[in-house]
Order: sequence, then structure tokens, then C-alpha cells
Amino acid sequence: MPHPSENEVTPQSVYSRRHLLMTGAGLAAASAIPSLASTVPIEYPGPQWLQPGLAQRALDASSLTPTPYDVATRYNNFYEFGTDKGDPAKYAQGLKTDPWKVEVTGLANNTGSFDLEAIIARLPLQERITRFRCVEAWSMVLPFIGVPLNQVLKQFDPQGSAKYVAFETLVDPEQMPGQRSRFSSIDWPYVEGLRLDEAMHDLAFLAVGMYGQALPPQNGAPTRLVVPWKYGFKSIKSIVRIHFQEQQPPTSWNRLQPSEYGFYSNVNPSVSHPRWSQASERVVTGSLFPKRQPTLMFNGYDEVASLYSGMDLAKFF
Amino acid sequence: MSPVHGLLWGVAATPLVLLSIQVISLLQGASHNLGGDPAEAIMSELGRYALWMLLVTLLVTPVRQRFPRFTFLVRSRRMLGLWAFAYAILHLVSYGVLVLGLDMSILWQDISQKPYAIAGAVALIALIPLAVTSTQGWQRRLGRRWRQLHKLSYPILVLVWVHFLWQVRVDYTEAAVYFVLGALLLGARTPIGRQFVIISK
Repeated sequence: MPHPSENEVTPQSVYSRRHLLMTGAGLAAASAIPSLASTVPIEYPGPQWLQPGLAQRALDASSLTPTPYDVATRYNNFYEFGTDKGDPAKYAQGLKTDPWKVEVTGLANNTGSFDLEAIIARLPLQERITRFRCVEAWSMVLPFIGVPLNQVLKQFDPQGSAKYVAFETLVDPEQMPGQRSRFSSIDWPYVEGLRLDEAMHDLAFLAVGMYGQALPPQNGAPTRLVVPWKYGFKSIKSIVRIHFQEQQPPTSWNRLQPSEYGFYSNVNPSVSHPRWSQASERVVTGSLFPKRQPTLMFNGYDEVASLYSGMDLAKFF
Repeated sequence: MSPVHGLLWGVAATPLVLLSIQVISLLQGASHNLGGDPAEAIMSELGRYALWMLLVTLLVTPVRQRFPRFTFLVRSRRMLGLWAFAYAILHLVSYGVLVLGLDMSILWQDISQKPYAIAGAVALIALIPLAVTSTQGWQRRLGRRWRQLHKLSYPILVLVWVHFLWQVRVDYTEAAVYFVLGALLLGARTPIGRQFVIISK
């Protein structure tokens, strides 16, 4: 089956049309849709082994309208490639993402170095049209494709003493110009973490694709977390290490500015960032007049509330 | 009117013209470089231009001390300062209209609670009397006090810099550049700095 042409960057209306076509009439028709590209297209087919899974993914019937593809792939925070939102699209295209090793360490029975293919290929992929809220008070709707994180973590058989799981992003200054910058105050590697029960919640997701295709490098190829009830920076990109541990891991933003970025970083409209309000958000669509909408507790994913029963979420922000 | 005055006017207007071209491209659905969040990009660019124009305006006096015969620069300084004010107003308007979608309650929350916003708001308010009294008429009427009043532009520069600095998340490069430029301009107006400016004659 031919892979869909990514020569088309995909505005909203086109994406939803293509979405239908790819599930029904097939891919040949999809590539016939004229490009509405307003900028240089981003071509990223992704690894061969991923294609059958992507094509057979379980679809999400959600009525949420995804962010236009060219916005989702050109407005990114991925400081490994630069601090400007446009830098990742510019500088990440050469990132080698296949083969990709993930090192599993710490309090688990099945540790070692695994090929991403070996972790993912035999799992059925599903699509999740996800609300995504950045700590900078903007939001998108992103149709990710992947697997529930718990299906991956269970493969490593974490031990009873493991209470937290930490994730690390690739460190490779040759491929990642942001890691060469002398003015960045982040200590690489970028580290994020979850409490193990958070990580095992069905909403915690490990993505390998979006918009019907493999994840583009600027969006965290080849694999990233999607933790939709937390601020976006918790959804760590380009993961090379998973570490099970008993203590709460020191995470990158929390270490950099503990008063501004908590370990939990659950989306919470009533806990203001010291420098700006989190009560509402700008819906980023590429429009000159973005819609502003109220931010919801847990980004609207109330089903995770039980994870935090009895906790003061203003203190553990 | 000196051709240099016209040239400086053109330099001051250029960012606005280039930004307007981008906005027109965006509205026509053509290729543009405002990125995925044009509202935020326009707002922050306009703020950046206001800071640039403030720096250029404050460069005029040291240049005149060095080259006293460039008397026409007095009028250019007024023009450049008014451009700084115009960019600052456009910066605020674009924040209110584009970024906040005219939800003024958020603007009020920002200005009443968030230190970065307070610094920016105070700087903008302090620019108003300077813009109003920038005419020759006001200059005559206020006499010596006019100069004292317009020295407010230095604390305003510091406030604008703080407004910028407090929004940096990781990369301090640009803030460091503005710090060096601002420090040189402030230093040039101190008695010692002035000696350096004049000695190089």
C-alpha cells in the first residue's frame, strides 16, 4: 500500500476529509487532494515497520476538530532544537529515528536495551484525538496515534518497590543544535517523570504517530509521551530511556524553576503560574484571531481525579 | 529637512511595513512567516520594535554630543521617540485585540498581578507625558523642567528591559544583548561616560 504523500500540509478541513478517505476509499485518493500549503511542506514518512500499524489503527470517533497539520508541525516547543517555536520544524528534519533504542533500567524485572520496533510493532495502534494544553497558556487538539503507556510499561515488569517512572530524551548535540547552545540553562538530558499509578492510567499514552502518519521529528519522533491532563512539557519527546525508581525523579523544568513548574503539573485553572494566569487559554489554529476559552481542571479529563484524592493540588501543583 | 531625518523615518517605519506585509499575506491565505500563532508573534514583534526604537532614540543625544553640528538630530529624536511610543501602543493593542480577544478582564488580571505586566504597563503609561510634551511648544513652556521630565526615558528603558527579561524561560541571549546596549547608552550620559563620548573627537 503506498504511503500517503506528505507533500500536503494539512489544514483542518483537508485533514478531516483525508481522515475519511484514508479509512474508506484508500490512500491513492488521498494524495489527489490538492495541497493548500501556505508554507514549505514537511516530509516525514517514518520507519517501514510502523506503516501496517498506522494503516490499521483504531480510529477515534471524537468530534473534536484537530489543529491544522501545518500549525501542529511548525509551532513546537522542543528546546533540543532551539527555543523559537519555529526552530524544531527547521532543525529536526535530519533526526535519525530508525532504528531507535530505548534503554530500560531500574526497579523492573525485564530491563535492558530494546528496539522501539520490538516494543511497539506487535501492539495494536489506536488514535486518540487529544486536547493538549501548554503551560504557556495555549492549546491545540492533536490526533495522536500510539498505545496506552501501561501496555508498554507492563512489558518491563516493574517491581513492587517502583513508585515512579522517569523518562529521558536523546542527547546528541550533533543532531540537536539546541544542545550545543551555550545560553541554554537546561541540563541535558531532558528528564520527565510520572508517579507509577499515573503512568499506568489508561489516559497516559505513548505516541508514535499523529494525523494518520508517523510522528514528525519536531513532534517527538519516534516516540513520545502524551499525558493529556498535564501541561505539555510533561509529555516528553524522543524518549531513549525509561527508568523505574522508588523516589520522585528530579525533572527538568522543576529543577530549573521549582516555584513555577511543579512535578505534577496537572492542568489547573485555579493555580496561576507565578508569571501568568492559567485560567484561560488561546486555541492555536494559525488564525490571526485565536479563540480564547476557559481552561478546565485536568484539561477536562476528569477521569484522572481519583489519582489525586486527598492531595492538595495547590501545594502539589 | 535633512535627508538623514527622512532616512531615519524610513528606518523606523520599516518593521511596521514588513510586519504589515506578513499580516496581509496571512489574511489572503498566502505564505507568511508569522508561524503557528500569528497573534502572539505580532504582539511580541511590536513590543520588540518599541524597545529597539527606544534604544535608537536614546542613541541620539550621545551622537549629538560627539557631532554638535548635527543640529537636525534634535527633531529626529522627537520623531524616533514617537515611533517608540507608537510601537508600544500597537504592542498593547495587539495583545488586547489579537491575543486576549478583547477579554479585558484578563488584561486587568495581568496588570494588577503579574510583575512582568506591571513593568510593561508602567513603562507605557510613563511614555504618555513624554509623547504629549514632545512638541517644541511644550519644550519652550516647560523650559529646564522639560529636560528633567524627558530623562524619564532612562527608567522607562530599564522597565521595558525588565518586562522583557521576566518573560524569558530559558534563553537569555537576547535579554543580554539589550542589557549591554542599554548599559552603554545609560553610561554615555554619566559624567565619565560623557568624557569618553567627547574625547573620541
